Amino acid sequence: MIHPSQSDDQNHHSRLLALLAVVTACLFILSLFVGSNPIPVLAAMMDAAGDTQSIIALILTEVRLPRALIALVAGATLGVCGATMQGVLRNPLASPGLVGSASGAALGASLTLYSGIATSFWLALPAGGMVGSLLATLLVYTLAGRAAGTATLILAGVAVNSIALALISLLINLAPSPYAVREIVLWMLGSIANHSMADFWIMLPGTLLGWALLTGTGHSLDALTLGEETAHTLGVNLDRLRWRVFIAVALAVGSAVSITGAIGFIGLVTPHLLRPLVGFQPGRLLLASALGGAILLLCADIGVRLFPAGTEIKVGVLTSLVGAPFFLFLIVRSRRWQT
Amino acid sequence: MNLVEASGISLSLGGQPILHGISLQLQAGEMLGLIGPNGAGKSSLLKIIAGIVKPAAGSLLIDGCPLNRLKDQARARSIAYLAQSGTAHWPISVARIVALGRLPYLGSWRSASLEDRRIIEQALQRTGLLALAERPFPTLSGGEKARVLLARALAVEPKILLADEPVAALDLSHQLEVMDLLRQHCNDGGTALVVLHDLRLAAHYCDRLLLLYQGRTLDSGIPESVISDNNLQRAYGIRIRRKGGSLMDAFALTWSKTGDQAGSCGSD
Amino acid sequence: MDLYHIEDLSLYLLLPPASRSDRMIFPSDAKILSYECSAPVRFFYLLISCLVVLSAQAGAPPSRVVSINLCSDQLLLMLAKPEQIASISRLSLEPNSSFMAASAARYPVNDAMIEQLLGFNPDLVLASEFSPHPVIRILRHLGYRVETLPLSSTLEDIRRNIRFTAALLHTEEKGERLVAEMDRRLEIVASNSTQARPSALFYQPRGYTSGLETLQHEALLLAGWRNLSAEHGIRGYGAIDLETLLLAKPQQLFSSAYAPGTDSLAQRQMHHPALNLITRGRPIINVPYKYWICGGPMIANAVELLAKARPDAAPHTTGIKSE
Repeated sequence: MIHPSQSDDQNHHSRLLALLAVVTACLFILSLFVGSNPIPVLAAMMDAAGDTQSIIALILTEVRLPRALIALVAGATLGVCGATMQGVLRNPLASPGLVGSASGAALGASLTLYSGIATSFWLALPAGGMVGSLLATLLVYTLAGRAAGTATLILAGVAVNSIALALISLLINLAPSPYAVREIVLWMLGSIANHSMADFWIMLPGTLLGWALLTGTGHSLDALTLGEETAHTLGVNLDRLRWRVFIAVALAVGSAVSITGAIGFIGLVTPHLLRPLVGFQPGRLLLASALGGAILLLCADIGVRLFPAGTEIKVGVLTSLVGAPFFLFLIVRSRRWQT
Repeated sequence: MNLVEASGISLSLGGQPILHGISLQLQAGEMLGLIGPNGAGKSSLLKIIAGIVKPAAGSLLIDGCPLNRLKDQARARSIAYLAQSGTAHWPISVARIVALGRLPYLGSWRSASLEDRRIIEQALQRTGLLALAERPFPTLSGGEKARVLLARALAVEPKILLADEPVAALDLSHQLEVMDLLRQHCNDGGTALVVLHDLRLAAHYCDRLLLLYQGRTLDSGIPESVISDNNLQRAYGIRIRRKGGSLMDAFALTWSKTGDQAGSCGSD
Repeated sequence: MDLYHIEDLSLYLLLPPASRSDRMIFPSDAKILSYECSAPVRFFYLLISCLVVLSAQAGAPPSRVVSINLCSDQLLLMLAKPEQIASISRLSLEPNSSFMAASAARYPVNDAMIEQLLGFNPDLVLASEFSPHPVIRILRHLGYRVETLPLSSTLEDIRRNIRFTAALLHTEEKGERLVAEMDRRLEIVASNSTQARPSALFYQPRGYTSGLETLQHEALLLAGWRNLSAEHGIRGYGAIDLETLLLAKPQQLFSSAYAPGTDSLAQRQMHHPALNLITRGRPIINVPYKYWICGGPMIANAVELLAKARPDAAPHTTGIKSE
């Protein structure tokens, strides 16, 4: 006899993924319809498809499409990286933002940008982000230790984030460009406005490579539920897994952040919202969190475009405004568990 | 052929010697009890055989093949390890935890097949957990948790089962239940190496005992020969007060289960 | 130069939100571009300038003039006799923003620090409305004569500032000559203009543009363009988002690179492919910032450049000296 719940469970999971995918697709299309000016999007699509270079087609393909694509890919990256880090560190507060991967990426990217290295070859900017992200992640991991508790990990993350922020400030004040000084907000809070398809192509290779490295880690993350030693006896090579995850996160987050800045809290919040829906299983959380992250960032980006504040606010402002209270809620809840 | 053949195993951690030249053999159908006082090196020896810790010296053959030449997956299929006071980091359901035992057979991509599900089902049934299959792990009692983790190890269908204090923190009835399951595993052609503190359970269930003291083998053999006044005096610093009869009478298991709960299976 | 950025940041934060704009990207002097001056204030300045002119003519010409602002530097360097100039601000040496950078190199520079200024023992200090207020207050308190130049956002403002400064320096004739020369050049441009006004937009990194009451607006109109930013209701220096810009369909984009050869997210935005597509491949034309970052007769250079960029500008009708 086969326990009925197991095949039900599989169906339930497939339905969840399908639902998330449909919502993502709808939001992606919706985000093409929302902008500072109402344009006839369907007519614009016809124009764009028919090679008519009308203004509306131009707005659709050169302004809204890159923005929606960047929101999709950056959101998915943050979501899946948050879920993976929480799984591999078995810590519900691990995420690219808190562990320093994102601010390290911002530091690396701004270093290449303001020093002028970024103009030398087109992958220089994301490469800077990747190196920064990897170094920051490894630094936090080394500082906190292998079996870090939540508090240690957060403290190490706070320290590395502060160092990154200070170095970015220093860098920006020393930058030869007069525009640099205002851009610290972009790096630390994140924005996906005013990007072109070129920016999207710059961030795409690293994120795809990172995603590719993360696929297939699901079973290993499941095994880690039972602790590192038991996972090892289930055939998981932990050293290889950790390096694989850290490098994947560096590639993906480094590339995304070098274009969007460190968009806060998507990586933390997404896995938490979805975990109960996948039965708390870390492996199943990955794909769900990728879709969930894309959904959250697309929503936030549509939100800032609808925000009635004259000039558009940065998308990172919105995600942080929503995410930070959620973070506090997590802390309060975990404190209640401890007592 | 011996399923496990270890000889001359030594280990130091941080310059501190932990184990000196330990040798042991495990044959199919055999249950070996690992006893000794705290800090004798029992858990370390178990972790070495599980492949978690690399020994400083010595050779270790699993089914005739050196452990370090075994692929991760092959090793994971032959050896299951039940950690001391193991736990789950997320509030996953019982069925999902037991299903983790099938991971060595899945690779990176495949999800559980019908055969896998049948084995998971069987493990749940043998441990009497079918009714609890959908319960989240943290809501279980200590005894239930221990049985879930044992079911997870059984779901591996390993030849070699390594259990580190599997009955610690269990009540008398659950202790018997878990030990019965381990015994059953051996009777089905597997072998088990079990760290035990309760010498009565060790004497009752195990075919042979290995007594460790300060990282060395103090004695090994059948329970009647290992549990001796001299050994107890040297290893634990205790003397047994006898109310007549032999020493082994003092370590007789004087209780048994009454109910015919699922998972119980008389063995001897 | 970084010092200026930091000052800009603090100043920016002190300003009331309504007047906040992108002035931060400019060195401190350029803030005037966006300052919006109400009618009574303008009248007040006019009154003051009349009084100053009257009183100045009474005494001897100033002989140790110190200027602490890029824009007053420019007029001082144009109008004063060399021996009258004691010091100019450091930014005047910066060739991208200072039209008079070459002649500025001959004079001692200052950073508008009070101790430094006292060292020159000036008999006249020239500042702008946006110069640091504490410095001006202390100088006045110590008995130094400080004159602040109001901003200029129109041609009339420029003429008034030239005459005002010339009066302070007792070089009125030179002032009139500068005004006449500027007007002559602008007249040539105006006479060559046709009725049709093509549309243009001044576009800066981070999407900033110049609307009504800016020198850029004035210059675009004088050169025969329409300023789309002004038509979209932008006053002073304000942001325009990319979609609105594209829908406005400018025929030509102008920009003023402040720090060529540097990189930032803001500057990268200028390379957005949509900008190139909207103007049908016509690249953004760079107007040297020194022509219109400050109000002065060099606005004629900007206007000539803008007029030459008009699609209908025929080579034989320009009569403009080549750049």
